[in-house]
Amino acid sequence: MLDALLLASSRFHTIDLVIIAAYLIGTTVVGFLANRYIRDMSDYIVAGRSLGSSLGVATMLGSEIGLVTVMYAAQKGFTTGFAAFHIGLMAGIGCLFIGLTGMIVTPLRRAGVKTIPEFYGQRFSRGVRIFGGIMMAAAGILNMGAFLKTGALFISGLFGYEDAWTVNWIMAGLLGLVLLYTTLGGMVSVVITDYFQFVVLSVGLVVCCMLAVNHLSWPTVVETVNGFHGEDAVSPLANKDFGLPYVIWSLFVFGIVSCAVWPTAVMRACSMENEASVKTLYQWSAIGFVTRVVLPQFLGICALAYFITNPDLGARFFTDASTITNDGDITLTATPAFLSQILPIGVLGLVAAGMLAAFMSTNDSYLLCWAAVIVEDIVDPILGNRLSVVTKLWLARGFIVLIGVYLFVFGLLYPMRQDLVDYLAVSGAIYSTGAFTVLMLGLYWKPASSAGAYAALAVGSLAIFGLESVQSSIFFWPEQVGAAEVGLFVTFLALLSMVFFSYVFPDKRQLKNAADMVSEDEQLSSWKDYKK
Amino acid sequence: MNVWMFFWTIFLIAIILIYIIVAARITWGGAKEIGTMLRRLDAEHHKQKSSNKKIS
Repeated sequence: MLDALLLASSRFHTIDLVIIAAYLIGTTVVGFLANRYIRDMSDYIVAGRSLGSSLGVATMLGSEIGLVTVMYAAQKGFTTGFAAFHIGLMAGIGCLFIGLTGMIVTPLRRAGVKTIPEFYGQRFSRGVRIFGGIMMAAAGILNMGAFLKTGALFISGLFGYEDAWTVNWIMAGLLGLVLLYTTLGGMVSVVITDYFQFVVLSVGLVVCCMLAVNHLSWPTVVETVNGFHGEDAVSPLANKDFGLPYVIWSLFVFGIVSCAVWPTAVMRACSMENEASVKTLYQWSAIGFVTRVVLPQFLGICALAYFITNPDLGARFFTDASTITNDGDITLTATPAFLSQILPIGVLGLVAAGMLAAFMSTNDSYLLCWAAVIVEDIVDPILGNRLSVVTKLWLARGFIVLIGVYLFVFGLLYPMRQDLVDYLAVSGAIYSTGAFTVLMLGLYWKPASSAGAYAALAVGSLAIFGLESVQSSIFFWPEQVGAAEVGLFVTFLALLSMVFFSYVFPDKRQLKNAADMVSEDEQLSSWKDYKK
Repeated sequence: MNVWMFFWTIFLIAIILIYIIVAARITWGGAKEIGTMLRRLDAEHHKQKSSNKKIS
């Protein structure tokens, strides 16, 4: 993986290893301790709906600032320069909008559901719940496929190891740890570990940025990167990798979808103690949605400046003096390689622990989320909702292990042909374009019907044509149509098809707007009043 | 300096400063809430244990 020269000059020390080991042992112990608090699926999936606003924000950001996010953002900063900052800006604007309006997330919390397909079941039918669950789990697990290898590449880059076997062993080790404490402790352990991971990560990212600027100097970073990329380095509208459709696509995917439709984020909203804390959660998280992208991008930009000014160390990242290599697996390792060169002993260990934290906090939440969807929204409804709590808990744990095995196999076999951020956006869009439509219209449009929901979810899967590996297999695919154009078009098509099918095949029973659904607490209190 | 570059420079500095303040607040508030959550879960855990004993 890494050049021998990079390996020789890496500053990794035994003290760094001790810091990492202490952190990993601490996290696993928390998983064991949290296990005794798990009594039912509600405790396991949404921590008994007991999160206050600060803890909610910490755990939301702990999960959403994953190592994969750090890696893809750093890669985008490395390959495109300052123009990539617009992705973080759009993400923050989208999240703040959700926080101020409460769009989608507040009515979902009011409905008292644990997962999004559960809402489909309440609003439409059992069939839509199962179909929506299958679409969500399939796209989500495909999306998660890149996580494990990316994490292993980062850690191996930071350690300064070079062979593929080491990456595979790191993948296996990381996977084992995450599986251990997620299967044991569920959401309670996820919440506690996410909190510590948020703290370690926040400190780590800010310290890294400061040390990077201190090492290179701000004028050197700006002049070197802008000299390399030209006008493209700063303007998202002029940059050949972006343009206006990409900016709009960023607002939709990294802003609205990733915080209001993406199940792991929605699970946080469903775990909050009341609707007011849901809004507060999103308002405070907005800044985190910006920094989770912008700070790693800045580190990627610094890595580019470093390797341009140190061409001997950075030869593998360039095909010639003015071009960055197209190999995604190589550009992914640029930032960890840069950090291994500049961070002092001890700080390197803290950053590695922070990044491991980032990796684990994302993976535990995602594993838990997809396993919960498979058990609660696919298996249990198919079997007529007859599963006992104990069976559900064991099934969820079993599916967590199975997804882990899939991640390992995917990491070994799938070649990353496009920038990681685009892979994640497109694979996520397979689910989220349809889900966004079904949630929006299901919550705010009375005539929305089950037929319309089926149509929107099915049409949303067309977003798979945004993947470069799919496009390259179609010989007549026009070059100017990229992931952003496909995504925007499919979203529009999903909206259109839901409206059309809802009018043509309306549901027999007319529901009121689901946004007006009363909460479980209100139902309970009115039942108590009735009994009195 | 290009207008875009000027904008991104101010943006980056502002974001880092705001994030430091927000992260400090969340860290403090989160620590208190973890304590409350664990105490509540602990109380429920003991309550369930004692009711199980009564039944048996």
